[in-house]
Amino acid sequence: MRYVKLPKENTYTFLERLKEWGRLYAPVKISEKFYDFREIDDVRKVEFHYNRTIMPPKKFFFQPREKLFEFSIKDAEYRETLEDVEPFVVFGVHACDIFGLKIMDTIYLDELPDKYYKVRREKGVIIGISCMPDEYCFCNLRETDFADDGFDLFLHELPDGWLVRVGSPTGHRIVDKNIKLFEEVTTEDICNFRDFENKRAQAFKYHEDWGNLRYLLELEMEHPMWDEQSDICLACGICNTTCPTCRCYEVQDIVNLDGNTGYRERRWDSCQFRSHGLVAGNHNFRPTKKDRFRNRYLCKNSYNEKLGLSYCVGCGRCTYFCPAGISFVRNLRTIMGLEEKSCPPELSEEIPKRGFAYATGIRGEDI
Amino acid sequence: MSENPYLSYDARILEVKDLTPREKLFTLRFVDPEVGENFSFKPGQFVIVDVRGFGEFPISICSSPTRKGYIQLCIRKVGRMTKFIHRMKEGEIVGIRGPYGNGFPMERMEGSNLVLVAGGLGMAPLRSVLWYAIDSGKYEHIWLFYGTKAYEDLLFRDEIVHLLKHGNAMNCSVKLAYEIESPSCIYLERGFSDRVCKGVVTDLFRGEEFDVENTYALICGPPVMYKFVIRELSNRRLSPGRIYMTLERRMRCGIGKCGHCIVGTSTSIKYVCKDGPVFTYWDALSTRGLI
Amino acid sequence: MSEKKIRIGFYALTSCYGCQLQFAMMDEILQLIPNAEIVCWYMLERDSKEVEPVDIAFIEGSVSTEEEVELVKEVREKSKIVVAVGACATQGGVQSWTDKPLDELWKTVYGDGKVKFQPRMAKPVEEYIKVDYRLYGCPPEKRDFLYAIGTFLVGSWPEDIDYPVCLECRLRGNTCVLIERGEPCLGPITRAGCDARCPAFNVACIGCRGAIGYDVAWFDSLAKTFKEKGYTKEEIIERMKIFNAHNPKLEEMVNKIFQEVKE
Repeated sequence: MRYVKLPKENTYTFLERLKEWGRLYAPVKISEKFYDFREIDDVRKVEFHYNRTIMPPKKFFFQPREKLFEFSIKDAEYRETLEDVEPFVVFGVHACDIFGLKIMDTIYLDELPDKYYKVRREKGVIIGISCMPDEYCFCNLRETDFADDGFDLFLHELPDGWLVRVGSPTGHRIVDKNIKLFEEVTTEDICNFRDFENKRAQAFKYHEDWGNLRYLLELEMEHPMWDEQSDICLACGICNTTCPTCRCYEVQDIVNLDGNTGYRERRWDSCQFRSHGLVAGNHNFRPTKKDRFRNRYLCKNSYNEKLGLSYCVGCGRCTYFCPAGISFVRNLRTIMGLEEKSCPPELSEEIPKRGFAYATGIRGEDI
Repeated sequence: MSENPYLSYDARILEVKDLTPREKLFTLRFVDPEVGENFSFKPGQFVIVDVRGFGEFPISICSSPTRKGYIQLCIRKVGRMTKFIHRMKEGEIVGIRGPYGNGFPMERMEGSNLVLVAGGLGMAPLRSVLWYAIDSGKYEHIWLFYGTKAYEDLLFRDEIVHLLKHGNAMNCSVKLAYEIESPSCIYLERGFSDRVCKGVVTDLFRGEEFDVENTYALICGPPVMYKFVIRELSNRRLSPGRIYMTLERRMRCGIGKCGHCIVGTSTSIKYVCKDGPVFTYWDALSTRGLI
Repeated sequence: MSEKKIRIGFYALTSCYGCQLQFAMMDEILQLIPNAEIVCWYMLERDSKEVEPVDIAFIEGSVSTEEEVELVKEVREKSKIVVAVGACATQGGVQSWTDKPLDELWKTVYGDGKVKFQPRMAKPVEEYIKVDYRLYGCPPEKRDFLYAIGTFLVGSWPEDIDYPVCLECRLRGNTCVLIERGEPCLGPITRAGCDARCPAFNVACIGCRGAIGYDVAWFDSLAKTFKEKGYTKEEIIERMKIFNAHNPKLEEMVNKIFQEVKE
């Protein structure tokens, strides 16, 4: 990997130069407590130390609302509406969010890639930034606390500047074009970087092993925690829309008042809404709020085989932005047995029933 | 420029046939002949039907791939989009994209017996299997157990009755079950008393013997039906790897992106459109919530 | 497709006429003119006073007098499709907020004066006739009208939204007034469709589009959240009832939260 150092005094100049590569988006403070990625005019507004943005960086690639096609019913026309995507730079993406984008790629860029996502992904430049965890972060438990790839540049904070890791050809080009802004990495920088990383590793609230979480979740599907927590859940969907890896979407056709032309639009959807499991004929595969609540935990903590990680990156947004005060981490730790009152009072009958359930006379050796 | 997987291709409706008061059979051909040439599918796969102005919905293909030049879809009128499509006439255009899904593994089952168990609208994808098996002739004996609420709900009635009468020549045994009596089914019952009875589809298993080493079972029906049919099959010692089921869920994309069709739990999350819609009973045992 | 124009009528009961104004001021209404014939609309055309036979009848306003009860029944008879438009017609509107008896309200507004109509407590239209479809909001958004009429023109019908305003706030990138400022925002139980207009200006949602149907409006969870932010039961019920006065589940679910504390 190539390493260079960006001295502190050159930071704002570097940000200005980034604008040559496309529209610059970076985290800014949008209100007293919240941050978000917004387009930057004045680089002095960029926040380098923020805990989490209210909208994850997936919003640049998998847009909240996107027009897919325009149609005309009488003329049987059907046209895709992919507007010309200009290059853009997203600055200040934390390691957890970079992993989030990699996870989105495994779904959206598979054998039948989503064209709308692909075009934007190719035009986006990702510049990561290091961070100190707060009490809601748990990316160390998810193994997403250090990004190995998926970025063009990654800036690590040093007392007098940034240690920059170059992760792609575009990153090389950016550094080379502005080579006068960068310096060589010195031993002192390496020491500072090591200190920062060590301090960071200690600063996480929890240090444990979550390797068998997904099995415990499945075994404990009748734990009383699900009833208690889903009772206070508002089913508002905020956990899904702030999550960097949630990717469900709903499609709707809108017809104009001429009764002929119209467009097809897609928007982010949430599995907490009633219509997520609803099929024609009014059968709902997840009829109750508890089913939907539990489904989110099961889906989010399932195994992404391509990357060897779970779909959750440990950013803490679902806990931070939940209006009802439900803590994702506390609920998972209850299932793991790390919080008080973890063991259910009685063993439910579900587990024995779920064996070779449908033929009581069958034993394994007959098959 | 890359391909857009959500783009649907125009298909013209060649024929609309009423099967029952609620279901219609649509025969479609692609407007662009090249698209029609390149469209090859396996029994059990589905397409997404795109009604411009309304939306899209998934429907399994009910014609066999051995009959080329057209595809047939059996559509029940249940909601907004299907109500509109029922009003469409011959010559009109809808959008089709597909085929999606994994389909039934017909090559693996060659040379074996097939037991097709259908409930109500579940006959649609199994009809594709049925005619593929009969046309290709590569299978031993084919049983079709078809249960409906009433004789009037029987899909593909002429074909089924034809097979009831002349099926033996094609190595095919058909048995029917109905829940509500009517003059037509009493007449059928009298003519084929060993093969038509009042009851549910599991009653049709009575008295049937299968060579479990050389038989595969294919099931399709309403969600509540699967457990009972599997119990019958398991009681006859049919291995779970030989029991195939095709399932449905809400789908918006058909290619594993919109996330509505997810089933399972944290150890076994699956997309019914990409990893299915055909699953074996082993999948059902390891994926809670599948059936 | 037949070239027959769709006949539309717009009737107003006790309302502020804001819903009609919204519809009349849409630019897209010009696109509608070739396909539709507006048969009866008093606000636009003084001569249209009688109830005419129409295909689609839009009704705004709550039923507050005996005369209006007769009017809506006549509209139902003469129309194929009845669409209730606006918070007054679908939920009873702000005039339904109160529990006080009719005489007391009368005295407050009119004193001893006499007027020539027979009053009733304000109720949504569907308490008297069968309503086919509804447009929610105070007033409904332009987009609601476009969507509903667009679907009628192709032979479909508009589906009710079953997700809350919170989704639209997130899609838009607003901050959350409930979390940040502790204000009693009714977004989590209010039907979406307005693109989170008020929270975008840091105003807590007042629920003008009504609570989500299909039994997914969780009044109890929201009351619990408000309770933790320091609101009393009376404050919570009062706020939720502004636009949901006739919702049967509301009081029961909120009371449940406050009962548990006493036990």
